[in-house]
Amino acid sequence: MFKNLGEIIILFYKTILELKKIPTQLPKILFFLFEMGNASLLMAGIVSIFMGGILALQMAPQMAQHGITGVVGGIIGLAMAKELSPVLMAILIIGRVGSAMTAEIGSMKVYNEIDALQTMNINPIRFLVLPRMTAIGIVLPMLTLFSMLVGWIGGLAVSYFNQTAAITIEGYFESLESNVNVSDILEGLVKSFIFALSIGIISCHQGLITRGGPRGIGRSVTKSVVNSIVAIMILDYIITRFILFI
Amino acid sequence: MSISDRKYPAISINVNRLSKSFDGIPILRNISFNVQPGEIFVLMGPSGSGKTVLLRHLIGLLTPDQGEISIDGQHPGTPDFFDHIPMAMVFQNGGLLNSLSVEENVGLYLKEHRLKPPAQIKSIVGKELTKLNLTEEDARKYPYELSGGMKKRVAIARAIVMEPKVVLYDEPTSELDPVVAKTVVDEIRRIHQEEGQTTVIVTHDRELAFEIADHIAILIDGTLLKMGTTMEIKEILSQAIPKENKNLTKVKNFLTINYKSIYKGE
Repeated sequence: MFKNLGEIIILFYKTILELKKIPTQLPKILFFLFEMGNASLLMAGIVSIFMGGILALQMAPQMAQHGITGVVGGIIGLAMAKELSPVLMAILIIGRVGSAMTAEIGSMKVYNEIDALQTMNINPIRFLVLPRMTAIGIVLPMLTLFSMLVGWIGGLAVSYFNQTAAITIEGYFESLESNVNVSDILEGLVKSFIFALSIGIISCHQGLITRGGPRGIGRSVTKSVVNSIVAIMILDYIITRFILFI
Repeated sequence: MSISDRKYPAISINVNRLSKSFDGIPILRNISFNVQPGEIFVLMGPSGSGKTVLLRHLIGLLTPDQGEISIDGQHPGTPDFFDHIPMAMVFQNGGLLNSLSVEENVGLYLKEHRLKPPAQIKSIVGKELTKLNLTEEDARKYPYELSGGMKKRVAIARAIVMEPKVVLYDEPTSELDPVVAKTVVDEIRRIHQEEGQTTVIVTHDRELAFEIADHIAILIDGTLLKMGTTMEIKEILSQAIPKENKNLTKVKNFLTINYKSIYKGE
C-alpha cells in the first residue's frame, strides 16, 4: 500500500514537471475533454436532478410539519454545493472515466505499446498521463457546477409539486440565495478539482503498473475504482476539516 | 537526402558480463558479446531462454543487475541515450498503438519530436508504407484491423522512419505463415542493404538465422553457449559432438529440434 502511495506521489510530481508541455499535447487534451464531458453530461444531469429531488422529498414534508419550509431551498443548495455534487460527480467520473483510463493505459502496458513509446524516446507521462490529468482536472469541476445547478432545480421541482410542503418558487430561491454563498460553491469546486487530480493519478498509475494480460487489466480496473472511491472519501473529510479550520 | 539513399555510420554494440534475475531467478548469466558495425547479428535460442530480455536490455527497457552494455560508448537507459544513439525496436506483437491509425503510428516519432512539418511527415510515411507494400487504404486502418504480417510491416516502417543507427527485431517471423514470413525477411534484408544499420534479430527460426545473419549467438537457459559466423554455426549440425562437450551438444540438439519442429511439423 505504502509502495503504491509513494509511486503515485512520484508520478504526480513527474506529471507536474511536464506541465510546461501542455501546449504540445493540446489536441489530445481537447479530445479527452470532449470524450469525458460528452460521455458524462447526460448521466450527471440525471443523477443530479434526482439527488436534488430526493433531498426535497425527504426533507420538505418534515420541514412543513415544523413550519420551517423557508429553509428547504437553502439546505438543498448547501448540501448540493458543498458535498453531494462534488462527491457524486467524482464517483460518476471514477466509473465512467477513471476505469476507462486504467483499462486503456493497462492494455497499452500489457501489449508493449508503452515500451514502444519509450523506444521512440516519447515520455509516457507526457504522452499518456498529462493530457488525461489536464482534461479530468477541467471536466470534473465543470460537471460539479452543472450538477449543483441541476440538483437545485430538481429540489425546486419536487418541493413545488409536493402538496404537503407547499413551497413557492420565489420562497425556494429566496432561501437558496440567502443561505448559499459564492464561497460555498467555490468550496465544492475546489473539492472537485482535488478529487479530479486524485482520480486521474490513481487511474493512470494503476494502468501503468498493470501486468499479466486481460486478467491483469481487469484486476487493475477494479483496484483503480475501489482505491479512487476510498481516496475521495478520505480527501473529502480532510478538505472539509481544513476548510472548517480556516 | 531522400529516404532511399541515406546511409548511416553504423555503430557497434558491446555487451560485457551481463546478468539479470527476476524475483531471484537468474534469466541471463554472465553474457558477453560484440556486434560489429553494420552487421546482422542473430540471437537464437528456445522459448524462455532470455533472448527478449537481452534485447530489452540493449534498448534500455531493462537495466542489468551486473555487467554493462555499451553502444557506441553510450549506455542504454541513461537519460540522453536516445539523443546520441537513434535506435528502434520492432516488437514481437508489433507494439503498435491501437488508438492510432497505421499512418499516425508510423509518423508518431516525427510528430511527437516535431522533426518535420505535418505535410512532410505524411509524405515520408506514405513513401515508407509503399516500400513495404502497404496501400493508402491500409494507412487509414487501425492496428486491430490488420493481419499479423501487416502489423509487422507497419512496425518495421515505424522503426525505419526514425532513421535508426541500430535496429532490433524481436521474433520478426513468429506467428506468420511461411509465405508472409519470407516477405518480412526480404524486407529486413532490403532495409539493411539500403540503410546499413547495425541489426540485431532475436529468433528461434533457424532458417531465418542461416539466411540472413553475419554472426549467430545461441542462448540457452540464459547462458550464451556458442557464438560464431553463420558458417561456423551451420557446421555444428554436421559435426560429431563428443558427449562430454555438454554445451555444444545442447546447441546441436537445439538446432536440430528447432529445425524439425518448425519445418517438419514434428
